[in-house]
Amino acid sequence: MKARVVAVFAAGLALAACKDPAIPDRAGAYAFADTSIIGPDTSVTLFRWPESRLPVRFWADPRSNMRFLVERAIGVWQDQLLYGELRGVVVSDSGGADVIVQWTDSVPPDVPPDTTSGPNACGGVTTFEYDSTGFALAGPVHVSLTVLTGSPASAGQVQACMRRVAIHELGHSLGLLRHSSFDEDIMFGSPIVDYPSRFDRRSVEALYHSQPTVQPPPQ
Amino acid sequence: MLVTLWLTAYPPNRLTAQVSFHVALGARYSSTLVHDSIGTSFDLRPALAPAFLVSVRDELRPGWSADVTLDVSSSGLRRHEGGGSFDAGSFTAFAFTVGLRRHFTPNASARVGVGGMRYRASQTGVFREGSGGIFPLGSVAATYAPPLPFAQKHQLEIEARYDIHLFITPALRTEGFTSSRPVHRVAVVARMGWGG
Repeated sequence: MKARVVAVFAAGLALAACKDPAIPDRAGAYAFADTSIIGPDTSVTLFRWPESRLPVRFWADPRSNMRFLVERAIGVWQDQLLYGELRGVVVSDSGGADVIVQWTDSVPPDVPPDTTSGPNACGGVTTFEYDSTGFALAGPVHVSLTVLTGSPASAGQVQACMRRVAIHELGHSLGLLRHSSFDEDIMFGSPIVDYPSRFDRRSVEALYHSQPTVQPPPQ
Repeated sequence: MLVTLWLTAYPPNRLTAQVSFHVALGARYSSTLVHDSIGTSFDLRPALAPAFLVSVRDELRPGWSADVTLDVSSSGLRRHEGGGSFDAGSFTAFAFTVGLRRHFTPNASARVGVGGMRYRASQTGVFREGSGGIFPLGSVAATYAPPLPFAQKHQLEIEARYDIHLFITPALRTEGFTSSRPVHRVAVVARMGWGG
């Protein structure tokens, strides 16, 4: 009887050990690398922060709630990845930063966001500076967030917009160089959603398991 | 079932003199928690980790004993991809088992156990939506007690342990995994006991 119990137990273990789960299909990533065609050659610009440069160091403009916006956006992108492919921190010294995030022109007041739909209230720009070879960054990535002048949006609507645009621009700074063609993605040219979509997730996953062609700037 | 096993192993009228308390320390290897492929294949695997066990053992009848064991391991998680190994967080695993031990000789015994296992980790990565609850766990172990006066005085034992559980987390389900993966763990521990 005891031998039978042990045999059944061992058989159960052996059966369980044979099971190997199927790997999920990850279709749906959009094009995130830049391509340029010069004569007969196609050049692919694929940038991501390599493991040796993690955590990525962000410096946030100390005015208003920029630090909050940057930390929130870092957290949102980190949460898209399951296996520790990406980590970011906000640093206090801009001199040692990998990404510098600043306000352009006016600084919006730190008020609770008004998520009701409103007029286009803010914008952002991410700038990469390449070295002479074109295969490495020459310095930190610069991100600028802007309150659109003349916009009739309330301060709360500006803050809601800044949350979206901060995630969008930090997506660029992490290597999602191109815009999505679909407005359900946070990387759509003028983002209207508050968080990354399934396709944004697929894209950043694919990016952080790709071989980059552009190296990060020297430390 | 655990309650039944407990009551079987520990009826209320059992003499306390037969009960012994054991502490063990050792090292544990764990197999891959997640095998995935995003362009390239990679594995998520715990690093070699310390294992700490506490047990209460009771002799049922000559040659047989039962025990309850709490087994704790803290480990770093590594992503093994493209020949490299990268930090992917950390966790602590708690396993609680009820076991039955057969003493073949005064120095050699074997144990079979069942129980549950729970992971605790910060809510990031594969644990970002929680740890997945308690996973059923089965274990086997072979134990050797050196026939030396000092070892016998302190009830020293060397044990090789193997256990298996099925691993999946809510975040992995969200990602598209539909079934659990068997995770095999092997540990070698040195144990010391009191009482009995």
